[in-house]
Amino acid sequence: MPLLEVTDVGVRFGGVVALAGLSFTIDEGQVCALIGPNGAGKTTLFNVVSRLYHPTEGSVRFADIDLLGLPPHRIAPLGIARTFQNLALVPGLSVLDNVVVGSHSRTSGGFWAAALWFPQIKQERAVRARAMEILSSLHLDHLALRPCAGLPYGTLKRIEIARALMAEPRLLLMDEPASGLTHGEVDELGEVIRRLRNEHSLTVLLVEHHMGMVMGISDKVVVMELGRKIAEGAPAEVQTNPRVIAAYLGEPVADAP
Amino acid sequence: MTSSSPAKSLGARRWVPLIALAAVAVVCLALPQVLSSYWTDTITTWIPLAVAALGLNLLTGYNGQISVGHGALFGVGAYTTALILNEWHWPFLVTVVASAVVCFVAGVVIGLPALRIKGLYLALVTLAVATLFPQILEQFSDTTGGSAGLGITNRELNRRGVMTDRSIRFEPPDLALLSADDAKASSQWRYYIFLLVAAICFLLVRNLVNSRAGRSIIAIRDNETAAEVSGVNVAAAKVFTFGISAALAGIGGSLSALELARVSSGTFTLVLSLNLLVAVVVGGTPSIAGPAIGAVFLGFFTNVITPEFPEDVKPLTPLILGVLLVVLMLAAPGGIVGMYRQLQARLAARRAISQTAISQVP
Repeated sequence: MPLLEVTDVGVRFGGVVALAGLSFTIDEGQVCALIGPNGAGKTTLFNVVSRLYHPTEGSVRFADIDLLGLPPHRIAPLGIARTFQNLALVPGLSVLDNVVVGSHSRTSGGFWAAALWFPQIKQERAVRARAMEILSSLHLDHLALRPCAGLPYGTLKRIEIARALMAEPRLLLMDEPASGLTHGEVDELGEVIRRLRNEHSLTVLLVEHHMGMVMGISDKVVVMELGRKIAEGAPAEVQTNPRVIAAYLGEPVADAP
Repeated sequence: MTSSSPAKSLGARRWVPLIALAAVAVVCLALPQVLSSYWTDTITTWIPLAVAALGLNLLTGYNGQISVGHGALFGVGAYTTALILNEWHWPFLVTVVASAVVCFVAGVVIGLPALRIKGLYLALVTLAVATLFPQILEQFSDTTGGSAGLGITNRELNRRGVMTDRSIRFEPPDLALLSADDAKASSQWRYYIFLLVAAICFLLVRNLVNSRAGRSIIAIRDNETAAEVSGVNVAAAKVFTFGISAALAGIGGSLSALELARVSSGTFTLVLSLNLLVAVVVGGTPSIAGPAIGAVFLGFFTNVITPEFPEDVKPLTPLILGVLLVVLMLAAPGGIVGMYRQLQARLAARRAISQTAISQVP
């Protein structure tokens, strides 16, 4: 049984068709890349899985649970975490606290317990220790007590990954993790993703434009154009697919002089 | 544990706020010992404002929901206290808790529609609540006493053995700490009770904002999507924050009713709501000490500085306060606490620079 099953998903914003009849599956443990030109609907699909958008049709199942029947805050407890294309951090909190926010779905304690403080001390210590562990595995531990505001873009992207890992996800959605990184950083990120996949036994769904990285780390690539899937398969297969080449480079002119 | 290095650098300077807190506590405890009854009563009126401002700060500073209507919630707390005491003569502290519960419910009722409106629109709707509240009180003047007010009294036997209504008062216990003069002892005792209630409120809110729930409150303010995707039930957290914030305003109102032994519609106008906002902003937001500092600033201005103005300047008092606020906001946009934090950051930066300089000496 696949871990994530996207079946015939369609999203329309007024007259604009963002996704049309999109179907694909991801198996447990895979690194799957979602590629395609801008406007292909990749981020839209992420937002459907996170329940930020409601699709007009289709179904999304995770470990055989129908996601479309759940409100957005019930997605993280199932084991789905994500990062954002344009960063969604909390500037008012320190790096450490930003990461700890990610553990919300794995911890308990409401307002009353919080006000009394002592019922939560133990959990709070454990959660901070774990956040420090994840931060140091991403080489961010020296920034733990700094406010998020003002840190470099690539660092902020890694903080988002740390926050997502705090949710102990089975499926990690990463929206353009390599954008804005230097060449060296991209290579390193590719290694980090593979390493995290192994260490945390993750399944990864990745939106990425950086083809070198995509082809290097993915087990499976889904290619989208204008809200539709145009190809799916192993990286090598996809690279030679004529439709994919056409989507990226344009159609060859048939009757050129 | 890997966290040792940042944790240590945090721990090294931990004693600074602790000493500051101890100093503030000593001053607060000593004040009624050195001040006259009049001044003790005056500074006692600042405490309810501080508690209500704390509530507003939780909502506006930490959660990002603007309320210009907390004066009305303060009023709900005050009237709840007045009506309970007049009808049922409950113990004072029980009445304070009951007022908090009533205001919590009122806050949830306002907080539910607030889920749909944000920013300026929410400010406008709560502004309407603040403006309407005194009118509503006058509409039901049979119960509320309208603008003439409602005394909070106890039926008691007087010296001649006749049942009369007597204003409530705090019966001081027989403690060496308190003055031998009964009236003064009553003022002191009331001050200490208020201080205790306020200290508990500040402690609970401090714990709250430093916890899992507090992180989600702040995350909602800065990035609702991030909070939601991390599993925070945003709607529930927002409504609950509104409720707690309102409960704190209600505790403030309840304390103020207990001190004045009287409630009247003229007290809970828009001006009160705005004053609470001023206390929050001047003190510095988001912070725990901010509302207390802001309330003291406001009280100091109203009760200590303003009476010193010459007669012909007095009508200009609101203008002077206004100009003062503008200047203060220009000089310290983060309020008084913000000013302190900036200073701290500057010192830390200077220390870091001098340390690198030392380490680079060949």
